[in-house]
Amino acid sequence: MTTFIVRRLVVTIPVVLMVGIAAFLLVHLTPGDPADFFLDPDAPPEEIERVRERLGLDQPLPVQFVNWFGGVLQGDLGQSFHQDRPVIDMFARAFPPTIYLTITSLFLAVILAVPIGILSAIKQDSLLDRFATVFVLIGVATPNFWLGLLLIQLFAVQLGWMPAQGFVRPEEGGLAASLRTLILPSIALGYSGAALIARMTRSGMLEVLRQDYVRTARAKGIAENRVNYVHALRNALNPILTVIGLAVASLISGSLVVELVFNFPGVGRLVVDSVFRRDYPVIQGSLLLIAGITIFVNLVVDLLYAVTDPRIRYD
Amino acid sequence: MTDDPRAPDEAPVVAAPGRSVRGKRGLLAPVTGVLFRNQLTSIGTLLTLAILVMAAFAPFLATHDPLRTNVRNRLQAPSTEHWMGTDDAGRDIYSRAIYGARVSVRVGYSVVVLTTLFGLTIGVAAGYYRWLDGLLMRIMDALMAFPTIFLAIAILAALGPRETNVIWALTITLTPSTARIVRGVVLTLKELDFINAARALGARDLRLLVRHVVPNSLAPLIVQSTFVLGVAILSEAGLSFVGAGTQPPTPSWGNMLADAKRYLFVAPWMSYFPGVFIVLGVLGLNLLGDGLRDAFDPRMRGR
Repeated sequence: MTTFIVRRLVVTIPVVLMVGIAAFLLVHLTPGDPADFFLDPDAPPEEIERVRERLGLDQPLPVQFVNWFGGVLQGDLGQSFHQDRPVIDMFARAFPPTIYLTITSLFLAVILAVPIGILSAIKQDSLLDRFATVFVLIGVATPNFWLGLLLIQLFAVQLGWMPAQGFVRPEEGGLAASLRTLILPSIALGYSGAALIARMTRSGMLEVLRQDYVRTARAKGIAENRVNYVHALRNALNPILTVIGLAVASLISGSLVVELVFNFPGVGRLVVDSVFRRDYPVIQGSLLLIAGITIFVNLVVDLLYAVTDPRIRYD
Repeated sequence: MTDDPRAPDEAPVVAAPGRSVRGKRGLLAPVTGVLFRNQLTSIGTLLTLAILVMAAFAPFLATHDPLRTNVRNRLQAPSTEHWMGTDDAGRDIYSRAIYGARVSVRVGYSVVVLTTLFGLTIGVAAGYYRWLDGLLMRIMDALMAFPTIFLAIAILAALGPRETNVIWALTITLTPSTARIVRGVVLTLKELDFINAARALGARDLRLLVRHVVPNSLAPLIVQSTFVLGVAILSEAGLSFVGAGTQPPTPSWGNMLADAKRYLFVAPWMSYFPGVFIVLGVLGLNLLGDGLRDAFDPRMRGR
């Protein structure tokens, strides 16, 4: 197992480097000059040069990259151009809301989708199965931000049950108040993930239920429930895990847009603001961190395969 | 956001196109056989066609000029004059939604053409030539590590929010999944006897690829493209909603919803209709894609 983890981490290194280069190049190919944001349009050229020097933009690109990436490897993501604060401090404030949102959405999606998927596979072509199919089809096609707008309208504007906007940090307003602000965004964000997971769970279960050993188990007279939940489900876990891993990536991506719907003070807000201000270090840093999280989640999923399927041995 | 076309159940399959689509009447019979093979697929085909018709005939279908503002008419609820109401500038929402289909169709189909082109080239190259595989796939992995919308926003930050740039941004983010699928198919195909036979007969690489490998990758590629189309439409809407995509006053379903957000309390109808159009458009494409996958690969049926 340890060898496998080490080997996986080694394989990850070139990907991380590539991701770093991609994040850096993307941002530096921007036509505009971030120095413009600090100065009058008619500032003298010497002034512009001074600002560029202060921001480190006067150096050749490769030097800038090595400076930046070298810092990243030591946990230093640089200074924000705009706020004159370390980028890492801004992340410390913006990441927790996004992480909470992603976790609650994932939680909702999994507790809803896995049972739906299992039951609709066991009772294929039943009324429940049809309902599940519609649930999945609509879920995959519904933009999360639109669902968010509808939820605000129903639960905040009409019924007044939930706050329409904003986020209360648990350490500031208490857990209950915090959860109240998380419910609507989590549903908006989690529904599409739930649809994906339900669909995959169903097809994974169907595949397993067709296997010979399931028929054998039934023929031996083992109780239907035991066949379904012990014999079949265990073997359908791998595809379910895979799709949950994929759902995490898509939830993180979706959170960016959903955060704007609910005026959530998370990474989405930070990224969009930084993009409009050309705040290079913040954009680069968030791209890198988000990609890092995605890569990490994939690694965890890979490791979990070995837990759910003992045939997989990583050494 | 359902922005992930990489759902693992779309495993690459080497299918036999033409199976189960054999029709005897007319040239189009095989095509209609697939497109209307069952109820759900027919709904998908019809919805997809409806969006195309909306985009193509927008000037005839619209009842008002989508750009004409009329402050006295602002924030009107749906009525016989304005079927879907008016927005904050007094513009007719129905007409704007009809014109909005144009953006979705232009962006969606351009992205499909480009991702297919790049995905096919990269996938075939990686699958067929071992020495290219490692490099190309690591680049694809790196791109796939960025969540779609994040990457697209960063690209748009670099290029500026314009429709052509939205197309490029989505092409860059969505090509890796297509390339991966093609690569998978090519890896399987390459080992099959008919390829070896052709090679033994002296066929060169280019001929092998063009005559044998590419045609046999088409079935999964067509299925993939319907999903890419759906994802592209959703992503374009998301980007326009955030303000990084189609810029006002040009109506797109995403930026109409961004306007709607500001008037949620006073004009809820502004948010209903553009969203319904997105859902129907993407739903249609997904149903069509599922139908095509079942037709091309009977093993996947009903999953």
